[in-house]
Amino acid sequence: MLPKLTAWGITFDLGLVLLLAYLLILWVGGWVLELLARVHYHKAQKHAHQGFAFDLQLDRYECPQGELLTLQTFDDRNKLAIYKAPASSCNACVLKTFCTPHEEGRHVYRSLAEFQETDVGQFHRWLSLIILAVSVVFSAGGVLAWWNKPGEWLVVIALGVSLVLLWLDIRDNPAKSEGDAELMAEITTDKW
Amino acid sequence: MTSRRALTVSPLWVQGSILTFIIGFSFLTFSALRIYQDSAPVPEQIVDESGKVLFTKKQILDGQEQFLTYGLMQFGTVYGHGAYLGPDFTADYLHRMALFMNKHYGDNEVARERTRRELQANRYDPTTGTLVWTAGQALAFEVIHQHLSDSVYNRTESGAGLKPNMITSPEDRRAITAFIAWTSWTAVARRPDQTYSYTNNWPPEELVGNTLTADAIMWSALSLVTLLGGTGLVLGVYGRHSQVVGWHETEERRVRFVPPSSVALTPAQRVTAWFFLVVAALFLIQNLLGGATVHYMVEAGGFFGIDLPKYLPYNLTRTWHLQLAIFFVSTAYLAAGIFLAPLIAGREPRGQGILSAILLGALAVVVFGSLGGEYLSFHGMLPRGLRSFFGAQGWEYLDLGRFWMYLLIVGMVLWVVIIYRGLRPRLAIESRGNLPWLFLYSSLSIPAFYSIGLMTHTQSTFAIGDFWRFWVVHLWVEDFLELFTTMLVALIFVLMGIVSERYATRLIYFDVMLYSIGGVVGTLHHCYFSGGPAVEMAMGAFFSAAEVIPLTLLTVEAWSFLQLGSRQQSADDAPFPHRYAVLFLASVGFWNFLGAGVFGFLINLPVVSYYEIGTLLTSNHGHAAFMGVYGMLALALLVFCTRYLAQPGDWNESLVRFSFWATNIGLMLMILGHLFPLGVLQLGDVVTNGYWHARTEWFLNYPWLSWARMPGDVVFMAGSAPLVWMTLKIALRTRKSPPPVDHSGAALEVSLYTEITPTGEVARGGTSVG
Ligand code: HEM
Ligand SMILES: [Fe+2]
Repeated sequence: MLPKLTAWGITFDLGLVLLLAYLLILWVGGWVLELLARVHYHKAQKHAHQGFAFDLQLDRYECPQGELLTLQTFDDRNKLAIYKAPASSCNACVLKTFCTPHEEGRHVYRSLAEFQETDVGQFHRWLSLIILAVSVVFSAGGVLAWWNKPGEWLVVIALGVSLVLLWLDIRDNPAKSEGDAELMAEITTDKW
Repeated sequence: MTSRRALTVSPLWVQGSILTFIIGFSFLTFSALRIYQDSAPVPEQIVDESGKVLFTKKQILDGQEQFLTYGLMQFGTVYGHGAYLGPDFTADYLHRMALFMNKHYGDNEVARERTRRELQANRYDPTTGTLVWTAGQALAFEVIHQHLSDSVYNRTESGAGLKPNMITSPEDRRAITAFIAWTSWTAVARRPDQTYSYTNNWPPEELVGNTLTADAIMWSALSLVTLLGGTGLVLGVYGRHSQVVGWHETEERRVRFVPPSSVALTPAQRVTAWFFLVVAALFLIQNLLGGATVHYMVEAGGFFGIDLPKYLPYNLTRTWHLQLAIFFVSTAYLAAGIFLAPLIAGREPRGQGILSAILLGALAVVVFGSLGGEYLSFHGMLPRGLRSFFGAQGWEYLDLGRFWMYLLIVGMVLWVVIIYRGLRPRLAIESRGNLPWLFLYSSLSIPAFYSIGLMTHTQSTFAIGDFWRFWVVHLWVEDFLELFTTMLVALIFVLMGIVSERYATRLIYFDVMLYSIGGVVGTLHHCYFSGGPAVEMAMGAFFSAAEVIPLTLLTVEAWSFLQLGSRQQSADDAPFPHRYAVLFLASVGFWNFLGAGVFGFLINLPVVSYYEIGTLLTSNHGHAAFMGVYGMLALALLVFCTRYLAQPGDWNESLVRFSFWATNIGLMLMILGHLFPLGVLQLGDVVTNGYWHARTEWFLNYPWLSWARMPGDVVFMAGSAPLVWMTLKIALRTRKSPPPVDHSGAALEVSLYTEITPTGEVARGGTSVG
């Protein structure tokens, strides 16, 4: 079917090379997909209160005019922490019309939801699970096709890698992702 | 007239957009002029060396018309354009001709050299319009004609996806071969004073000395430069100014979404329930036809033993599959436009409901009439004079007969009238650069650019006909529909109070600029090898790379915002009603990135396209981009609108959830399990064994792999079927609401959200845009 190639004195089975290349694309693709979606989610979170600097230590925001917004309350259902500036200073502020439509002082809603907890996060997680599942199927097919032939061990290793990656992704569920926010804070604070 | 509301954005946005639009279209107009001057000529007559006339121009163009109206472009391809089960007739003819001539001239190195020389020599005399064929060429014609008659036109039994005795008239059959032979001549005869053929040496064919041109390599390199440079530039500008333009909001907003069952409905909106039933039904039929079409790749003579080609040959199922894809998506857009207009205007004039019902009727006539016409045309049941008018024109994607095309344009114009009437009260008080006007322009662009398809005739010189065809196909999907999509998404978010009008408007202008640069001139990436001048390839390659920029940049941004926006701004006591509409929109973003951006660019460089065109990698891109972007958008619109149209008891969230996952996962499986890997293997075969081989013999090696398509198809269809059930219930029992308006023109109390203050009381009723 597919020819054999010889390079550097070694003879390759082109079909095997293509299969391994495809598996590599699937592994990397599944991972990049989730990473991209995650980075952009955190970027969007940051954009959501553009101009307001958040201070993690003191747990407060500073508005472009220098006013401080302190933590008021939590909205559990939407997983939001709500911060508020003093009404009096907002109502006296020259930028009020660009900032808030009401008289109670500007609020900022900080999302505490982890990426995987959101619908969009779930969507991309499932897509990458599907991609990895496809890699398991293809590498299993490879094991059947190359059983007892040269290159057998390569497809067996590939099957192992596919399974491990799939398992890691399944295991990486929302309950176990505390590190996520910090990691992402790092990735998204720079010049993107 | 009352004074208008001021422009919500800086006038620079408007001026910049108009300017880029004009620049883009100037380039494209220039290419139109060039293609009329420099496309491959159709000789007045082709003669043999003794001067005997073999064919006339009339026969060649007539042959093209027969080729198209019998549906052969939906069976195989010419110049790599068309359907993929049959051969590429251009390349196949060329290969067979060269083989025949080699043998005829003595089957040795001298013979091979002579064949190459004879074929490359351009013996066309423009002053007399006469092309001279050598003895080898003339004899090869007879042999190949016999082969095509036996395997395609006049088979003795069903096979290759075709029925027996398809084309009965011997003159028609001969004319078709004459057309195919002419395309092969353009593929190998060198342009006057050039070292490459009219098709930039496409197809790759060793026997005749067709190899990649230096131009193709150079413009591919420059195309990469545009992509990288353009991305850098846009990222730089965007990074610096992203607080001005982008999917976000700087102002504090918090809204309570009105429960869908208490939003008032206008008569026209209620009619759209039937539109959405039609959308779901056409979608399901479209899927089933796709299943039949792909089945022909595994079993070319039938369907699990049934003699299907006798009734529904491959070219017919594929035509219907493509036409219905366009129809189901368009129907959803028309319905969404009608549904949104009263929300924007805040009222609905009398008669919109009736007009909408008339539109639906007209649409049904066009859809079923044109599909019927295609059936009659491909089965040879219409007299020749009527075939391209009431039957099929047969140009891929513009398959429908001219009459149906006119009717469809009338229908779309009626739709614009409905939108215009609906928006008029609002338009009167708005600056002509504001959102409601942009919505109107965007609606107008859809019929306007469809009408350009009328420039393509069944007897147009191929390169010219194909050029205008791609004004529709390409400019629809890569420019005006992308804009309409941004428009609809932005509007929906404004209507729900999640984004302010100012941000949405800027974003639309930004999109117009980006698409006008890449998308407009990018049309020419479909015209690299079909007989137009080489400058088309240069411009196509250079500009189309820029298309990828907005696709990857904006949609990725939008896709994260969608989730954040809807979650962050909604007040806690009234749940967000559009969870799945937003998820479908997120999937539009994902597929735009992967299907259009990545898979589109993958096949976009001339050096890649030279080998790739007309292989399953195009199909891979077509499915991921068209279904992924426009199909998913149609479903998003269906879900968004029917959420309001359904009685609370008829709305079935778990069914919608199932559809969402099944369609997305199914599409992913089709692509990863079948189209992409098989496409790569086929591309490899083009490079190693030649184009003609990859399009015929190669397929025979992998019948089993086509079964890999099955899981994806089944999962996908499982997702489309339940929507028919749900929309049927909704159409039959559309929610009734008290008439929201007395026809005196008082404003509607229609709003989808109310804005709330932190203390919980309603601060401002948010009615419509603004
Ligand atoms: C949502 C957007 C898009 C959709 C719906 C779409 C759809 C399609 C379809 C259906 C085809 C097959 C045409 C045929 O069979 O003749 C096609 C071909 C092609 N597309 Fe796209 N496309 C999109 C965006 C893009 C982008 C962004 C690029 C690259 C910059 C691109 C590059 C190409 C190329 C090179 C071809 C093959 C040319 C040809 O055979 O005519 N597409 N596209
Ligand atoms: Fe295109």
